[in-house]
Amino acid sequence: MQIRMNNVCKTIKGATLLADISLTLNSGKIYGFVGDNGAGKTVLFKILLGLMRKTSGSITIDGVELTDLLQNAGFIIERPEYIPYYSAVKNLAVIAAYHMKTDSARIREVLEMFGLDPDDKKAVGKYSLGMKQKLALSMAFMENPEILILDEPLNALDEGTVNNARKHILEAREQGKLILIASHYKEDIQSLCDIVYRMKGGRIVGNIE
Amino acid sequence: MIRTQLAAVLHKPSVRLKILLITLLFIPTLIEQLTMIVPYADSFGKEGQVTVAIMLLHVFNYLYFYVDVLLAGFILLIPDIVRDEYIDKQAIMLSASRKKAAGIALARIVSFSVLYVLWFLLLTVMISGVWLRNFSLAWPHFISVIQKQAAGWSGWYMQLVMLPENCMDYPVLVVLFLIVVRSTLGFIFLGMLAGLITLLTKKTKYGVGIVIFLLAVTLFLYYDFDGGFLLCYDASVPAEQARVMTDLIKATLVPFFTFRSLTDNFTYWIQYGIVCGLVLCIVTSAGIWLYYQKGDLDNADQDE
Repeated sequence: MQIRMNNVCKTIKGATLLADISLTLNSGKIYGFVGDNGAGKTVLFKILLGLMRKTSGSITIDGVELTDLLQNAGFIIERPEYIPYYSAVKNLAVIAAYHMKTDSARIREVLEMFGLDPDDKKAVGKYSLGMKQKLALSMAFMENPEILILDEPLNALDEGTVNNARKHILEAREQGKLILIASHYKEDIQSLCDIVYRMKGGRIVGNIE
Repeated sequence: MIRTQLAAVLHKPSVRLKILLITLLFIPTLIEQLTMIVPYADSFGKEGQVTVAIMLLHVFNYLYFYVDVLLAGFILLIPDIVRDEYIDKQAIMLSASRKKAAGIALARIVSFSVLYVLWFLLLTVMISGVWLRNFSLAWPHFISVIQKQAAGWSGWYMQLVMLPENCMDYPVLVVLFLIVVRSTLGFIFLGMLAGLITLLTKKTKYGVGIVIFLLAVTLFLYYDFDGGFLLCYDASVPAEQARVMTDLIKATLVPFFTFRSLTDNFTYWIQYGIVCGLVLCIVTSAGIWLYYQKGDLDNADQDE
């Protein structure tokens, strides 16, 4: 799979959020995006997911213009959304009901993968920040998507879980998935990414391979 | 999908609490109406038999009831109806297309509005039936007596039970069905309008605000504007002034929820309410649909 972005711009009410973003992203690689708050990382991810419309430019997936929502993508964007009065299993079951391609065994598996107890009946609203982040990772990985778009995926996690999550992200790369990560933590980026793009003021101002 | 979303929202503790509060407000208000209408009907002698049908028609046709209970309750629920902050982003992405996401958003508003009306329909049947010890859905005779009185009145005519002229030409179930359809369309329109404004402004409070504004305009024109309240009773008001007043009121929420007077023509006003309701639902749903195709769906509610 290849995603190509050509001169993608996004402006809202005269403010430029993204300017002339041109990238080629290939399967089997992890791309990192770093930059200060407001650099445009999250907007870039939302445009790639199709949640936000670009103002100009083009995005193609394997040569086909992206005009709708991105298919087959798992994501963590901004504050993850949960149903706070449901358990973790029930939250994933609600999400799984959309595509009907995830069974309860996979839900249990993915929760265990990120260190959550699938038999825990506790409402997600009572979870700590770290547990919520584990659930967000479980949601992103649940349907085994081809593309993973992860905005600050390792926030609030303890060291053991961070190492475990890194392992699963690297495994996903080995399985040929295309992965995009934004993080403020140098260590996350250095340990995971094949190419790192630095963003500033909505532009890509440099990259490190 | 929509069933999953509905179940998730109906399990929300705040939604349950709101529905409980509205229900707790509705029950004594309905009983209060029963305690007024039963002796009123008794005053018609042996013609005066109140039935469940008349209570249903009254509840879904009485502006005070709408403003104080049903509309107030609906406004409380609007933030939960127009968007579900917990699962929106996932729901949009998992919909796989913007068209499908729009369809789910519209279906959520429609199904909530239908459920809302059905809940109060059921409550009215149960409470009135138990209170009256009679679940009859027949036309009560005293309504025809009131309507004969109204026919001899040259101006607008109001009574405790407001059913317009010639409604008894139709079977009671047809009238009831049409009135419930009209109310449901009214709620769907308000939900969709609130949804559209919420999408455009990214603020739920503006979605709620527009409904409150429309309600305020309705009440202002209905009761206060240029002595409108007096016009309802005053047969000496010049015909032109009365017509202007009627036209103004037709441009508010009134035709979606109630009739103006016993001398209003049922066929005309119900057609007006249903056709207007349908047109407005189509226009607002087209707005939501277009927004989902063209707009940003990042849905960050900037109320916080």
